[in-house]
Amino acid sequence: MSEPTQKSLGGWARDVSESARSLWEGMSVTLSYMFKKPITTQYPDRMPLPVVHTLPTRYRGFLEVDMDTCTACQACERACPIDVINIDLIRGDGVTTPKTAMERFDIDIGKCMFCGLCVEPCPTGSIQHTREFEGAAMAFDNLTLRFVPDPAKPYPAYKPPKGADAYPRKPLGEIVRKLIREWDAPAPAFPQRDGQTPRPGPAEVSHVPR
Amino acid sequence: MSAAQDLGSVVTTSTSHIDAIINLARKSSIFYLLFGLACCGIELMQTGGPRADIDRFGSVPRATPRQSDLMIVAGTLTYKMAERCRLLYAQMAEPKYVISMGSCANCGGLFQYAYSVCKGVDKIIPVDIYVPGCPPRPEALTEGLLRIQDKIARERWFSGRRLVGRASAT
Amino acid sequence: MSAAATAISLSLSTIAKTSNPRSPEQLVDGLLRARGIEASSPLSTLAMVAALLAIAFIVVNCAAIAAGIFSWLERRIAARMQSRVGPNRVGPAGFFQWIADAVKLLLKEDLIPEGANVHLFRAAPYFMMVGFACTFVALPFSHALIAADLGVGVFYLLAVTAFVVVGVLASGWSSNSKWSLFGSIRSAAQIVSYEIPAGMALLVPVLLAGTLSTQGIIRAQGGWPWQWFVFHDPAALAAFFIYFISALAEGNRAPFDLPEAESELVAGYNTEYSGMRFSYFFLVEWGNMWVMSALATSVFLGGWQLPGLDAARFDALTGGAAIGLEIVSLALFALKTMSLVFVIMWLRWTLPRLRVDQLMSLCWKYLVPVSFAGALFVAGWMLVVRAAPVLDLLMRGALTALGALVVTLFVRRTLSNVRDVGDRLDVRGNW
Repeated sequence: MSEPTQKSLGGWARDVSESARSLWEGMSVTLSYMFKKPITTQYPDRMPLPVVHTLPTRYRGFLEVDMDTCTACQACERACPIDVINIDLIRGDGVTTPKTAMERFDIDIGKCMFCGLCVEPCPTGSIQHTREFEGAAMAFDNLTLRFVPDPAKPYPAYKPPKGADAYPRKPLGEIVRKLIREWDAPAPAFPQRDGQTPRPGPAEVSHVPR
Repeated sequence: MSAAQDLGSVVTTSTSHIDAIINLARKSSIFYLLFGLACCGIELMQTGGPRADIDRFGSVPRATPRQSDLMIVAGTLTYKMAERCRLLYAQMAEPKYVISMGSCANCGGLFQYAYSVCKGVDKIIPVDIYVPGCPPRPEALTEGLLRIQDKIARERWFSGRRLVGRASAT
Repeated sequence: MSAAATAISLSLSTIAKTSNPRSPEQLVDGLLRARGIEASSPLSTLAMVAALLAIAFIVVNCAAIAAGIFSWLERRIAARMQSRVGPNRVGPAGFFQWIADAVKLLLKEDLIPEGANVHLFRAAPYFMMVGFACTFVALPFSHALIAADLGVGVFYLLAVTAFVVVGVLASGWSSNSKWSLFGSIRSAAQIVSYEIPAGMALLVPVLLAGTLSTQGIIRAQGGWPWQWFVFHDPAALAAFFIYFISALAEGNRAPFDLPEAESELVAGYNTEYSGMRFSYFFLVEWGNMWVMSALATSVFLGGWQLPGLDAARFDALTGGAAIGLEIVSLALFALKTMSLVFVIMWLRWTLPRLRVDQLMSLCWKYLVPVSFAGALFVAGWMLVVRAAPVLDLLMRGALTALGALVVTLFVRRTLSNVRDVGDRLDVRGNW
């Protein structure tokens, strides 16, 4: 029907019959899909299985650092091609304060490209990709995961035992989940004067079951 | 005084009920602008596709900014495109929302040190929700949409001043 | 309260008593006479005007609500045809999605672009709405439910449907946007071209019935499929398809939605519209589905005719039986129309959009010659049938059998398609 292929009446009739046949087949296919089960997974609330359990085995989600096994070697910071990881070290005397401690260990997941280059050089497997991927935030600064919550309390570097080939690690994803939940935590109650009942902060955002 | 207070509370509750109904309607019908810039655009299409299907929440793509409520900036924003992006945002009808999808839109991402790439879409237009990921999964973008719905659900039309959401505690 | 009840019971009894209330005027007239008011008094005129206004209000609102529900239906059907779920969060199965959309669009900012012709820009959606709402005047819904049974019904419907193009052109031109202008020019070319096959195709039932009135054409048919005009002769069958295709093109429905092609023109003639004004365009698009399906049902598929009940016997009925059968005929008409609406949606999600040259070639090379030849054939066939009435019966029977065969084959083909994928049938799940 489309191209002016045939000038003859036979070509004209062939065009019509071809159109009719393609219409017949096409309509039949679309109608058959109408009676089939949709393949939609109804995220977030009407799913038979949480999305996390349907991800591929080596899915690369948000990065997570277990500060208890981090040796402060900065290999991940050097490996990162786009400066997503920021580590600040302080040096102590080794007697009253630890010899090396981390004041800051920030991973900017708003900038991270999930390439996995930081995971490879880590000597203790402290930095890992989790299977977390839901982290929408209302402010860009919230997308920075701060693994040292308080710079005034630096984390001492981990000294791996001699000859060890396995290191203790917290369950993967636990730390990241906690940090992301803190983004969504309700704002602290407004400070009140003496003798007044405390006013609650703005309502909590809670729609996505995490 | 108590009568006035009662009246005030009645007015407040009824207006907040109207607000709730209006916001329910508004948040269930967020049309988004077809605006894919890079690889995140592919995930944006997936989000509208059969598996993730954000049509469930009443979100359908519109090709024209005049009819869309939500602009999903999906991908690397070059300086050349930034002008257009800002123009498109200006062409959208109020009330309008912006999702910054993926690392490149959030802050330039891995192209942050490139001479031609805008360092985040929030440098040129106000962003409501940042979705991390490179690119984010369709479910992650769906979560971003749900956060926009939350934001809409908290807006005021009649009761009190219009509250356009708040940044959560940092 | 009691007054209202009295009025309702009075009007019901009037309907029951007046044997054949063909139109609202007769109904109101009967009501007034029952009250003992003279037909010539000014009170009578006032009541007539009030009644007509009320009917107009009801008709326009019904049209708008039907269009809204179609938008939900279309989204659900489209979703299921694409293996999706579709809107399912607002109300049961997402039914109130259209209300949510309407409320949101009402609250959106009403933008008027710089450089636009403000008055025309504002008026264009109303042009479309007027052209759309006027069609409901001559559309028969059931045996008695018709706003005005015009003597030139089909002609009037064709003329009024074409009025929509004024709104499309006005919106495209006044927007001061090249996409809008392209869209509206395309739409104008399309509607003007497809008027011809649509008119010629509608000429076939007009020839067969010998009247232009929609009720008259329905009355010339019968309740059984072999009494419908679509199975009268091969040319009428072709005319039905030609009218259907042309109506799709006139209503800017896919696969003929070139005026609002997203991939080429941003959103066509309504690119610059936002908020409620934009929703009028879509209201008209979805409402037009009802209009074209209802017209096709009326002139080709027997309209409200009940199987086994002659129109003349229907007229003679009184009392509860008349009211009950009225409702049944309304339901039958709605059922036929809704199935055609479903076919329109189904076509939309099956076929890709045509190119402009393909669109024009389809119209001028295929539909126009066939429709002209069909009209001539029907005229000749009527002469043949007058000479040998048995041929008429044979032809109707053969065509009805052919239709049944085609439907059976299609269902079998679809079932085998479902089986080929090895997926189980599931109509109820995932709503």
